Amino acid sequence: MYDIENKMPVALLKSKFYIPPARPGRVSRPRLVARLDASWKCKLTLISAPAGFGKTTLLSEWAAGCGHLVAWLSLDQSDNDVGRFLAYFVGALQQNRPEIGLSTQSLLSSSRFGPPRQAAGILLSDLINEIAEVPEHFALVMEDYHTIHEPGVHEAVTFMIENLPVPMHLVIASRVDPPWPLARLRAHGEVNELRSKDLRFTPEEAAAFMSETMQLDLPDEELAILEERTEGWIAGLQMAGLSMQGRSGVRDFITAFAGSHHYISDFLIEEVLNQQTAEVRDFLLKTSVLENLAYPLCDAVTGRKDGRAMLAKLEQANLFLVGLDDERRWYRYHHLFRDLLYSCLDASFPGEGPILHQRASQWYAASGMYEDAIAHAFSANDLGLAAMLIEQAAERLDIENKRVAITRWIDALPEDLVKARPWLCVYRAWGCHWMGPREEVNKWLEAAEQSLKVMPAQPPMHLNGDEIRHIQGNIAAIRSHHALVHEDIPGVLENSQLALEVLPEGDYMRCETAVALGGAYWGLGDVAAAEHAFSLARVDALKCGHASMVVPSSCYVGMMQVKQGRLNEAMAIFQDALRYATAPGGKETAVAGFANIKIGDVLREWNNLEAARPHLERGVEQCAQLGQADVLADGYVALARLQIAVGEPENARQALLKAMQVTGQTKVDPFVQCWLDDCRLRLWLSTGDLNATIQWAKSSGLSPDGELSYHYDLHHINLARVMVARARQSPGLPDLGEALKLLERILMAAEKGGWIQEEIKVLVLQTLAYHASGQDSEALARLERALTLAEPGGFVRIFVDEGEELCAVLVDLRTKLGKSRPALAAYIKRLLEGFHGNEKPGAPPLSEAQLAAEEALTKRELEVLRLLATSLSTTEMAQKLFVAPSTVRTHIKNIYSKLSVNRRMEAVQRAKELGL
Amino acid sequence: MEISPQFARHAFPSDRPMFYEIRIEGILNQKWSSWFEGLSLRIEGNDTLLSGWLSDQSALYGLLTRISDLGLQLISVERMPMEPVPGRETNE
Repeated sequence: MYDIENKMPVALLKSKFYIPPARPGRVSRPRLVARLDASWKCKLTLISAPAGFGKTTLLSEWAAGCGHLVAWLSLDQSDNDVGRFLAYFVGALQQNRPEIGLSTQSLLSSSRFGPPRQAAGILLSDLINEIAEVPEHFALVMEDYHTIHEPGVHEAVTFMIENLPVPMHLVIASRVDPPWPLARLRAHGEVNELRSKDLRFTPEEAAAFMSETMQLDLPDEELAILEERTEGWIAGLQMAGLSMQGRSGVRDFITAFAGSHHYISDFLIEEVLNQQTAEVRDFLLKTSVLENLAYPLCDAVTGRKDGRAMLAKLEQANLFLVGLDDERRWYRYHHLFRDLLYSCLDASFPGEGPILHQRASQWYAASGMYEDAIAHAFSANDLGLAAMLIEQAAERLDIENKRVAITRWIDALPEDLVKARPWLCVYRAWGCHWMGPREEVNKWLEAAEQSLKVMPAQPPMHLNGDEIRHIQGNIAAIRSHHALVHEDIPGVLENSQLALEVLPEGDYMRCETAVALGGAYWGLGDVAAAEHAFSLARVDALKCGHASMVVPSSCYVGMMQVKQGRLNEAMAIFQDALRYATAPGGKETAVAGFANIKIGDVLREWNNLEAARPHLERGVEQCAQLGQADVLADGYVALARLQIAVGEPENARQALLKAMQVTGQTKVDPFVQCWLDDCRLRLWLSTGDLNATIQWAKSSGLSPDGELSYHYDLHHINLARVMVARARQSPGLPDLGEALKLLERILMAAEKGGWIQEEIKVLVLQTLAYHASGQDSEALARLERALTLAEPGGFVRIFVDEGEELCAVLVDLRTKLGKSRPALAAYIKRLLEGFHGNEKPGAPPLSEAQLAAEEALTKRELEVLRLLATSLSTTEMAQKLFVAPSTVRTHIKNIYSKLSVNRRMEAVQRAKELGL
Repeated sequence: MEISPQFARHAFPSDRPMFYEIRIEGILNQKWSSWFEGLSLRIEGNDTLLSGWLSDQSALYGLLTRISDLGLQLISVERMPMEPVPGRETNE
């Protein structure tokens, strides 16, 4: 039905996975290959040596002949971003095993606000479990690890190393020792190391290199001098070799070389260049501005037409050219060689560097490769070009990437330049809104508007009417979000409406804006208008086809329907959202979290508690993975409500603590706080702790005469609950009158806005209050009204959670109604069943079969059973046991069936009985 | 390394431009000066001395990385107690 977009954050460059093939004529190094074979016995092999020691060559020789599958990942500067690094990490593994890491990938691509904020551990645990199941041992080689400096990436790799699954072996090549706990790993014998002293050419290898690879026939004495001067440094020997090829008198060269104290590379690169024809020299120097080479790009930069032939020739001649794919489309120079060439560029072609970079930039832009085009524009110091390219790139970049990449680029430009370009200001403002600093949003918006005012009449800076409106629409959209954060409801309304008028169809900002608008209507209490706005958002989201927008907008629509008592419609839309977030194979992506939580909560409301639990637990895990604070907190609260309902108060307390941790760290939507407090109060009341509720009321800052707030979800209901509870304990107190007054006020507000769910809650509290004070007819009237409102949606727990007192009133109401209102009578019957359904019959005696089943609990199941007796959640148990949460759930299911129980507490109980 | 009194009053010395002298083994061609943040290059015997102002610790480490990338042997890094001349704190 729907297309699941399992989009990667960036299109993965295949060249990063390319294993360089062994070159013919290369010196074989069996002693080192044997050292590398020890990799299969330990977790980590580290090759740490400076540039030019033949690390890559050695690894490719080893990979080709080792007889196991090897995955390869070449790292570079741009991998200093956790999301991107992990995407490539998984991508590398998938080259050999395409089925691995799909859930991790979808996790990475569905996070809306840049890379997931969760620790590497959570992201990688699924992946680690999958890898553990792989039947054969394999290695992942990571090349150029020294390019990594981002602590988040180091963390992820360290985590990987420490939790490395058995079949996997890491082989890492770096120019510097990575910041890992190497000392500890060495102490445990878990790391196999090769260092520069190991990698140097021995005299025999140097001799073989000169004769076989460089095709030079040198006498021993000269070889010895070369070996000593280079100290076996391979790149040096190679350059020396290149300097001697085609030369008639090598003796002079060697004497000069040996006697020189010049930086060896300086000396050698000059010699190498001198030995080339003018054409080759020209080509080498000019293409040194390029990180990667393809022949059309080379032609564009050199202004010649012989790029293809040249590259082939250079590769043949061992001139440090490395192929990046089998088709010979892309190459690069060995890094050191390129740096050396680049250092010689200015001497031969003074001042041409920037021009060459510009040509490269233009070629890349024409090929749609904006990242490289922009980099070259900066290298050329052509900031105007860079700015223009950033704008072009931004249009085309995926939403998820816009924010991080664009912010980085824009910050590299001088502020004045940015302020003159409205689109750049707009993008920067979005960047500030999502990633901070929030205070600067207005500065950039004002700059955008200012630059529109002074818009030049001529291209290229001139914008036409449509574009101007588009920019204005974006400005309004950002303003509306900003207003929502600052609870400026009129600001949200004004700006959202403007934005929606002006933004073109298909602009994903429409969806975001409609969500803000929905939030504003919610804050004004107009739940029907809020539903409508969220529906618009959903329609736009479906047009754009991003699960990360479809799911939340759908869930908001459903939440509004719940508020209006339309539980069945809400369930349908939540299910729809869940389907949308599920991949064709049936695997749910992490975006499904929100939907799972909502589904679970409705099931709970319908008293379908066992069905609710898996949805809530899964939903909470998924939200934790995405780092979505609002929904995660909401999820913990929903879970806690379930746990109270099934009689697990300790678990509920834990869940609420987690919810409070989340709300303590991040600003969440106001309704979350309201529901959190509601649940805390219910928990305290269920354990008879009235004092805690009174303390809460004192510190809440709420007063019975205070102004009610739709924005905070009419949270005065919580205060009223405390007041009613107090009054019920001692009916003589004046609390009751005050409570009833407050409840009446809230009721009016709820009715006005059409907040049926809240109306029901209030009516139930009123029922209890009147009942406690003996005003039975009032109590019955309120309850009847509540039931009338609740019956279409089938609410159950909203009544059942109130306990025996409400049950008594229900019974009275049923008597009073007699034969009138049969639908209501039937509903009451269902509710009464709900009240009694929580009691379980006495435990049946243990039969022979049951005893046998219990003895058959596996060791693993016993471990899990022991953990069930603690207050750890499924997820925490999984972390403790280093398995996936789904595995733990399977164990738990088996345990329950073997012990013939249905719930955790029963299992723990039974275990105690059996002395397990 | 001794911090001279006039720097002691700064709360975060690592953010202030500092004067460094970096000694490398081997004789480097003058052309490398621009590669090394415009530091001046002086030959002393068989070593090269790079010296000049670096804006902060990050710049220093970036420079050291470039030295390592070129396969040069680093001998020493010294921070010199120089008075900053206003307007002349960078090597531009």
